[in-house]
Amino acid sequence: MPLLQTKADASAWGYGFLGATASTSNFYQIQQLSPSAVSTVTFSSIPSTYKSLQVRFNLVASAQYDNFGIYFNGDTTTNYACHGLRGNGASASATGTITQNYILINSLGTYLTYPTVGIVDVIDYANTNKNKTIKALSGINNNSAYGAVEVGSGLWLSTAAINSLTVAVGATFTGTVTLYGAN
Amino acid sequence: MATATYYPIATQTLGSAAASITFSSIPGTYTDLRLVLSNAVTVAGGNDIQFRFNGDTATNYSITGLHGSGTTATSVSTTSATVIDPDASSAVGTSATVPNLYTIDVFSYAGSTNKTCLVINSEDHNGTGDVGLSVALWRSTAAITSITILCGSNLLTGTIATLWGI
Repeated sequence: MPLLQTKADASAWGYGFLGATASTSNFYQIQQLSPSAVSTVTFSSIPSTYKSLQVRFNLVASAQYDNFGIYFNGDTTTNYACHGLRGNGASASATGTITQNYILINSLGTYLTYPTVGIVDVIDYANTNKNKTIKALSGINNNSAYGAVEVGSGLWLSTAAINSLTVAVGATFTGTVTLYGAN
Repeated sequence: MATATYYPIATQTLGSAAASITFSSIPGTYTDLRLVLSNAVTVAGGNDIQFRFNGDTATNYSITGLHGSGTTATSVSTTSATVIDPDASSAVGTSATVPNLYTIDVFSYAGSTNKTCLVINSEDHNGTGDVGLSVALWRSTAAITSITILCGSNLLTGTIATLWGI
């Protein structure tokens, strides 16, 4: 194959949080969890030394049409709101809710056997002057005519710094969840 | 401070037109992969740009997409396909001068589950366009060791593909 350039120098290229590159890597793995048949996983004692957090997950649910949610600092009161733009393979639709107990990530639900995946960005999580906003991308495909893909936003009505983050589901899930910090 | 992670495994920039770009011998040492295909150009009205893992040409791929064309939002799906084709429903087509951008996140690529990925396509052709988020499945529990970018009408000079390990 004709190539002008091949580069695999980890020290020379880096990661900009939303896609730009930097001279050095600024994306750090804080913790990786491998849950097995549990309904929640929690990252606790999250350091406040990053600008943003990113959660990436690859999880197989034990029940169909289950939903993943995220909440912060153990707060399960009605301080959350979320909006979603989603597609199910047949049509596009939108959803929005307020006064929720968590931020709903995949409103169209899970399937068995095949992983639900997602990327959740939590912006300015340690700022004590702002409510907290997230962006979420998620999807599931099981080689049927009905899959689910979603772009979501979420709000936590709190100015507290986020020091713990919980991923929850109605039944149980198994897989990998990783928390990253970005500067 | 935690350990930095987000490594460029390799970048390939086409010096002349080619029907495919392949990243092979991908190490299994990361959690996820991100493939960024930028400045992706092919001939006007050419074939879609597609993706394949481990050279598997069987009907093991499927995709569900959410797309916006500038006038409507749609959702489409394809099952039992031989490739991942994020543009299967797009009416935008390809261009020799206006590049498309694709970002593919492959989750737990070295693990033993079936492989699911999120694909973002960004295509603006100054009057027509398509932006999409798709979820694609490769029904295989094998570790992904190679990724191929395909275009039957050739990817043109200057197309850049970078594979990142996360």
